[in-house]
Amino acid sequence: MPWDGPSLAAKPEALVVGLARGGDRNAFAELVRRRQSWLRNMMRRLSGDSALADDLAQQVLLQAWQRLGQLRRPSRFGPWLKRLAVTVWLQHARRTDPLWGAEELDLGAVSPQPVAGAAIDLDRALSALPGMVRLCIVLAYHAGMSHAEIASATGLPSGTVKSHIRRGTLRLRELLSAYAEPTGGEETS
Amino acid sequence: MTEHHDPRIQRLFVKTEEPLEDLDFSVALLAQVATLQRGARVRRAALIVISVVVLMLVASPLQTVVVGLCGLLAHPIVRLDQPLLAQALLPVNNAAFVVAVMLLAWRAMRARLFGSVTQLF
Repeated sequence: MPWDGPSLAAKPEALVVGLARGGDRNAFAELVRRRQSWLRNMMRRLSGDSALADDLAQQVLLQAWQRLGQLRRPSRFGPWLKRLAVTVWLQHARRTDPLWGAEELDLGAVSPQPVAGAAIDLDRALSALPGMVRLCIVLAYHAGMSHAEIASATGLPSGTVKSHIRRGTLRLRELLSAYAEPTGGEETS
Repeated sequence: MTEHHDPRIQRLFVKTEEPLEDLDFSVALLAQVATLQRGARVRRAALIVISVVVLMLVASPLQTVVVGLCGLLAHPIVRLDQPLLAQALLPVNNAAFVVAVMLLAWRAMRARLFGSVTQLF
């Protein structure tokens, strides 16, 4: 039965997920409203193409709709959606390029890039990273996933994830040196 | 907080994340969801119709088989001439009882065999 009570906007996500699992399209629309910006931004960071990113984000959400019944705990919708997004991205990347993920990150000298704006520079810097390194970086910095979560979602060993994030971070620092702040803390532990 | 997170990089990610307008995106997505729902309803209806037709077709022969099977299972194993004795032993003097005993014995044997194998590992 569709929810016809007060607006879902203020309701806890677990409740909305529960309603959507029962086939309530309004509840699912509310989930889309809450998650679409974050999801589309993540796909944009991964693909560097806004049209492709929207297409992939739609695939993720359609799969989420079809598989909501498999989600045992509605409170875990966020992490579950992240894993789904990673799977869709990996399937797309490997379909379009069978050698995707096999590139190595060369930590050699980097020529400084002209500053074009933070968003453009970040996208440019991300596109300079090899596929799997970029994925780990985006999952760590954009999606806020832990090493263990990234390892589980991507199928990579935990040590490899840490290495990708460390080396990717070093490369981003070099490429985005124009945004280095004069003061401030270093890496968190 | 994970290791190797550079706060400057993190701030850049946060600063450059633009809130995206959801209207067009959501409308297109929900149209696809509606199509999926319609398709699922059609498949469910078709499955119900097919199931009803199949059940109607097999109902009569299935009933014949079930009735025949019940008669077979109720058939006495040992023919007894004394009616009183035959009545008293009726619950155990039939094929169904023999099959039930065999099934129980098989279950016990499996539990003993595979239970001991599981304990080895």
